Amino acid sequence: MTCRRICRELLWLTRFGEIGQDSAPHLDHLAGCHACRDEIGFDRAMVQQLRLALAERVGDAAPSPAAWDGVLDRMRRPEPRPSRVRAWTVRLAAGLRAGTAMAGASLALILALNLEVVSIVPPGLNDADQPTAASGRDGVPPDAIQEWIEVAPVVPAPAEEEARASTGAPMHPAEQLPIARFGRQAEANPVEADTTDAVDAPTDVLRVLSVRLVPADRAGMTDGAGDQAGDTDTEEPKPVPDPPLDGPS
Amino acid sequence: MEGRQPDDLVERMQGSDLDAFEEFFNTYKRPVYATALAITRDPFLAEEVLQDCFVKAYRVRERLDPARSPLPWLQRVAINLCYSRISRRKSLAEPITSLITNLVVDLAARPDQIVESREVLDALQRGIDALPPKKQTAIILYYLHGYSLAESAEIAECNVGTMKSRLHYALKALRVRLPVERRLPVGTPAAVRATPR
Repeated sequence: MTCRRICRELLWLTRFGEIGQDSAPHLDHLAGCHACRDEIGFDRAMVQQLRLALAERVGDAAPSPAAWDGVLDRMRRPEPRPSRVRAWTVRLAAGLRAGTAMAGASLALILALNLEVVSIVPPGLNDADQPTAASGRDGVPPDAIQEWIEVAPVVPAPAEEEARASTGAPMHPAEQLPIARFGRQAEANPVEADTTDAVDAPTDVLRVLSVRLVPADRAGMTDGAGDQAGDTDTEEPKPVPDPPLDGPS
Repeated sequence: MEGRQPDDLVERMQGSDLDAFEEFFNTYKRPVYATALAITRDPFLAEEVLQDCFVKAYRVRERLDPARSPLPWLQRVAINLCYSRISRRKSLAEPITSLITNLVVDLAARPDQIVESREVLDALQRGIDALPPKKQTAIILYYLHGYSLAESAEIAECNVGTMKSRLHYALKALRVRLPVERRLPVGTPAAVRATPR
């Protein structure tokens, strides 16, 4: 044990009068350690001063002889009732606490069961006829999934695209869908490229579906099928020039 | 605990015997008043707390256990009343007791010792005032009233370990309040202790 720790334990023992048979090692240390003796001595002196300070606060003061009359006087007064506003506030606070606890417990339960709450509306389904959770995975009916598998194009490989550009062959209508544009964006972003590798697997379609929720025009895709389909109303944003390397002049 | 009561005092009080209640008041008024005064440092406020405390005791007299001393309960009520009053007032009154003590000094003591001792006591008084309620209560119960750790813990409604911890941290906080040279251990050379601040 270090000197510091022994000193701390000694302080504890002397303050609460707990020095006994098993304190012999501490006392042995105290006999040989000047610093610990000083520390304990100082603590005892401070406690002595503290007792004086506390006694000074009270002195010989006693309640006045009129104190008993004051008690009788207060007893005759009607007992104050708790105000209605306060009682209402207490009830409201209790209700809020209970509500918060229930919300927290529900959230914990959802996390524990690993439930996913996903809102996906495939084309052809409006808000009114959204499928129920029982109809398929993540609430998407199996026939809607199948329809998307059929419609969703396989992203053309770069070589295939180059060949088509050289021959001038038109793009398949399905490739003009936003999902195809997503596929092209995924090529530009290698981190997300694997999301379009196996589009015909239903699970990946669902993954793509959830990405599809981001509007194409907000995703910054200006070179996609929309332009090729003759959509010339939207202006392509001008690229922002890079700042000069040598700082502002 | 101090303030021993006649065996049937609480029972007689429970029978709405006003004389028994007066005896009950006279038996326990001093320790309760001392606690209130130590916390509030205001004799008038302490007396108000004392009166409220006993009025409350009379109103709930049916719930008092005749087999046990009511003093821990009375002290607990007094402590709670004190802190609720203090928080309502926000500021403490000028302590009259300390003014009196300032006037009454030991003329036999050396002037430098008087000044030093006064300085330490004042620092400790300020330190006690600045303690959080739980630590302040612990200090008052243990060092002023001399209750045992178990009794102090019963009044403060905590266990003995918690009471020890509160006392330990209260002393630690008070030590920081002391003038710098008084914080040094006793064995520190005089030259170091006399270093001007």
